[in-house]
Amino acid sequence: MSLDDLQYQENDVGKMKGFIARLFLNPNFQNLPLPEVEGLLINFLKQNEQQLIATLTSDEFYPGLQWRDVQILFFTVLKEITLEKMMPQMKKLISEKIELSFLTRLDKKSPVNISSISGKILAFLEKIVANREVRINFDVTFKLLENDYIDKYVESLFKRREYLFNELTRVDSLHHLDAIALANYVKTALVLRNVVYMKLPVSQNVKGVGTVSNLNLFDVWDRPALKQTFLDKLHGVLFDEFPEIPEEFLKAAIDSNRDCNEETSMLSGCSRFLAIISKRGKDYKPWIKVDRGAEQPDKSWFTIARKNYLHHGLDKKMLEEFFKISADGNW
Amino acid sequence: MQKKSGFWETFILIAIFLVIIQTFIEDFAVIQDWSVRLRQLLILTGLFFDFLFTVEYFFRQTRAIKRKNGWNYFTRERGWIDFFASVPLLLLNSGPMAFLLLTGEGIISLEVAGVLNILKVIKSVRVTRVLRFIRMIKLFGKIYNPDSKMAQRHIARITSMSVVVIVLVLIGTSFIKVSQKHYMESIKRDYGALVKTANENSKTDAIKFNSQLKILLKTRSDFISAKLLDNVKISQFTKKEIEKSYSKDDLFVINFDNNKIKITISKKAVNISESQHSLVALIIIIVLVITLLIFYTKHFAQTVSDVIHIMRRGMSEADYSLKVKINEHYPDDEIYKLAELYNDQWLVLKDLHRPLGEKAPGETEAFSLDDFLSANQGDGEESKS
Repeated sequence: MSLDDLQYQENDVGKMKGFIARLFLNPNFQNLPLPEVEGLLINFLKQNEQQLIATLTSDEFYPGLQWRDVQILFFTVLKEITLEKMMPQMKKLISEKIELSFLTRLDKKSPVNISSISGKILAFLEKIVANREVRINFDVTFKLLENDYIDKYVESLFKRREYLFNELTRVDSLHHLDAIALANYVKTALVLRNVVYMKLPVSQNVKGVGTVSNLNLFDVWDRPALKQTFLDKLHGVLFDEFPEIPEEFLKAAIDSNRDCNEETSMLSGCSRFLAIISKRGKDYKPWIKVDRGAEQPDKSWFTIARKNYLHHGLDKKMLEEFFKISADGNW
Repeated sequence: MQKKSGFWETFILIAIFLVIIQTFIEDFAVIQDWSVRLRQLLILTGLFFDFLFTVEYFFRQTRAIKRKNGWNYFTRERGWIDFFASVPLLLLNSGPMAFLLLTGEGIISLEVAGVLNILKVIKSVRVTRVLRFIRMIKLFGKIYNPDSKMAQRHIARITSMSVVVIVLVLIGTSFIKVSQKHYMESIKRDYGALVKTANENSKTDAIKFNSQLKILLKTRSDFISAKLLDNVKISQFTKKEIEKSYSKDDLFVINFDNNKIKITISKKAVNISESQHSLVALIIIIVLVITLLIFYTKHFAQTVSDVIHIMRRGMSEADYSLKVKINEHYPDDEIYKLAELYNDQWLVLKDLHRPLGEKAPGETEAFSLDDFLSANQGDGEESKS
């Protein structure tokens, strides 16, 4: 839904735009990625609904609008402003932090034109981020790319040449990629992995009646058959969108959202690596000063994660090595 | 109001620094034989600081009493330190010294020396001014652990105990060492021997006696001046020189022959010796206090309060999951045993309760309803403009 589709007074729309623009300037949000700010504001409005109903529908704020109208206006303007701010940032981040030349070194069906693929990826992202769930989950992507998080771990695993290295280079047959190319490989997969939040029409049988519903991976998470149907469909969408990119790569990006302990044999090293990195990214706050006497954030996080690996569906051996790397690097 | 109290606190902190310097310089000036005028000025500044701290103590105590917190302030909030580092000093040290300086006439007699002796013992208490450094734990705290009240209390306790013990030992041992009175009595005996010798040699001839005693007195390095028989006056220095270099406290008078003979003697040697002792005690206490404030505070913070701070955050904040770093030198300390449980069990269970990477319900950083509504209220002003 866009603002043009809504029947609001111009004054209310302008007022709401000013309001949300000022919310984005709140000092508490200064370090946070835009999608995270959007998510926080949405949660805030939902959690404080009872207190806000009377205030926001009062004469002082939006007189004449029902609470539901205020909510719709809020969410619509919030989305519009987030996208306005987010897309230029995303383009800048991808162009500055990701080098797609590794694609020319992968086994491929057809010749690869890097600038064309880059444009296609951006266009595809622009399309999928219109979905709120996809958009909100880009907070991790922003944080990890901005802080070169993947680069430092890939560089370390190349130096160590242990389990992570073997899984990513030998098992995934990426031995012809150097550390920089492999880091770009993982970063590109990170950018594409949020595609699983995209809703796709999936046929399902509800009480014996065949229906088609718009679902994403997490809607079908506990229903194995439907999950497989969804994933097959998603693979199809992505393969059609990017025929020049090897299927293994696209599959790795999607599979990084799956539980590796249920489907270890099916998941590539890159998927399992990305699953860990993405989970870590949710709690990653590079701007926070570590308390004296506390362990470094990565070291703390990996210690806990390797104990709860089953619960989180992460690869234990990979977590062990992540822990060692973070301890060595004092990260 | 808060601005005023902030100014007052800063003023007092500066005064604490200055009074420590003043205490040091006051003794240093005696040892270095600074001019009388400078030494008198230092006594008056000491009086000013003691007066200032006495006023401050009564202000704080009265305020605490008004809040029905008087006893607690005195016993638990270091009111006793404020008291001992101000009132006794004003009444028994800087006050009498200044009084003597401003109103006392002439030179101290042996009879006054007894009182002076007590004042000199009280002088040991001056080092309690250093206790006021404890007030600055908060300043050191800013370097180590801004919020730990426990650290502040423990450091204050150990610092005040150490200083009080040293001060008590100093007061106790001040009776053992040679006191002013003893010194002056011994000098009187020495000079009495001289008078006796002169008397024996002169055989009641006043002129001969004066001449004999004059020769004998000049052999003494502490002799200043004398009024001999027949009002004959002799002096090692001019009146101006004496006024410039000798304060009332530097001199004392001994009378012989029913006040027919008055001899003025310097007691700078004993004053210097006492100042050296005071200075050493002061330096020991300052170094001890600073060492405790800097190094022990750091040690305490790192091995106790920081650990507790991290565990408290981990238990009270939904998205705080940093482990406690176990100090490799003290892994068997109870606090680290507890920290191990926190690291290995609490954080792991907390993670299962709130899966890693997922925000806890209601968690919206530090963003409040006021932040939200104030952003909306900007509209009115904007549309007007």
